[in-house]
Amino acid sequence: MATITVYEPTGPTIDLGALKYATRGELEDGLDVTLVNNGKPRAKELLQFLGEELKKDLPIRSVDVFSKTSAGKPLTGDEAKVIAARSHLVITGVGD
Amino acid sequence: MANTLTLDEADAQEHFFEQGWTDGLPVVPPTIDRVQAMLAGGWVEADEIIGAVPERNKEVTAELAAINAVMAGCRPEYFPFVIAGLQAVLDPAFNANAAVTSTGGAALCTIVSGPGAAAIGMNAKHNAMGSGNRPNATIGRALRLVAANVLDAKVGKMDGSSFGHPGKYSFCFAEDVPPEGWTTLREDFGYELGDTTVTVFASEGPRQIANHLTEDGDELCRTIASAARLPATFSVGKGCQGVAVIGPEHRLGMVESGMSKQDVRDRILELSRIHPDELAAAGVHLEVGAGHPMIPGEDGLLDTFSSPEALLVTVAGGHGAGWSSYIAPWAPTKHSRITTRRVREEGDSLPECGPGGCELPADFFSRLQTKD
Repeated sequence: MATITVYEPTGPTIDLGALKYATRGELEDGLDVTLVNNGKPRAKELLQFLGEELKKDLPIRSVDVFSKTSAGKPLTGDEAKVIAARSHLVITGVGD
Repeated sequence: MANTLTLDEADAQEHFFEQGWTDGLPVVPPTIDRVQAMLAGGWVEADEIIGAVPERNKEVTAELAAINAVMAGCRPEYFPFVIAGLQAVLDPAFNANAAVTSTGGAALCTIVSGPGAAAIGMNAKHNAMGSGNRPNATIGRALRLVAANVLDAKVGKMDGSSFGHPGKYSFCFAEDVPPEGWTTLREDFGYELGDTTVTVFASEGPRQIANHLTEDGDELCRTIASAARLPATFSVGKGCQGVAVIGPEHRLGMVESGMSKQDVRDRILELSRIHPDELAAAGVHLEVGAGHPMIPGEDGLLDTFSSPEALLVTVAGGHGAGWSSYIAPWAPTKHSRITTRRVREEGDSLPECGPGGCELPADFFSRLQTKD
């Protein structure tokens, strides 16, 4: 039977190297948490509710919701730096 | 370099189906000879980078583009059009990361404007948006296959389309010659009349516009605007882009009514604004506190289009009873913009594009066609 040699049409994912975890330290006054709102309708209200629920179970001092300007675009580098500076824990997700 | 594999020729098609490398239709097996011929048709080396989607750590090389163009059924002379289309799709302003993933299920609507379209036999007339023309069908299909195979835009991976639509197989057509006094799409974007350009638009499927009983330009604009302001469209009232494709009878009526292309665009733009009560009557709620602040203007109306330039007016289609087409966007302009690239000619260098985005030569940005 005749054979042919063909290319695979898929490409590799660019290797960014190992990711570094943020430094783990001792917390005296509880966690400052930021929840990232993707900007979809009612997402903020849902996240605020979830933030209150988290407070019941975890040693959380504050919960802030950061709203993106576009659900279709990632946080900018500057936005990420601001959030990282003020938060011990950042939670994000995808949803409609 | 892309991986190769050796298959029994009779089994190759099934292997590509089994691997999920097709769009559900058979493909042309991308043999080494065919891919080399495709690369030669685009005057590019295999490892040249067409562009990247940094959000998902993916880059599109000329080789990967050529492999998928072969699979789509392109002839080598179509490859410069595929490259230009991919460069437009990979422009950060187009936001491919979201456009090929969203639940809204966007097509990569592709419009070719210029003498190059006729030179490769593209169809701008009867059934321009339909089946039956090889370059129309395969250039559009190549862009979609790259999105699926290279950017992982597949169901189960990174394509979340709730419904999708047939334009996601291929949605590509050529612009016809406009009436005297009307500009071409490429001129609207600042290119020369002798250039050929590829414009991409993350879109819904086309809406056929019927009006067989009037030659009045203003009435025709009203008909088109009625399709552009449908409350069920996600972007209506939120500021979007759109494409009005005017058919032969309708553009004749507009011209004989004394309307320039600018007049047509401005009139449709004006008539497409919508009152919140009309949305409410259709059960559509205004977004409050979300990503799309739907705040009416002083006259109480919401803008459907995001700026005067946000509505593209072009011409295509065959003679008939009086048809046009409106192509609605997948999302408001803040999420994705229409982008355009010139089709390179032999001897033109390929603009550089790296994984950090499209790192194009400085003078290239002056030709980048996102005006709002």
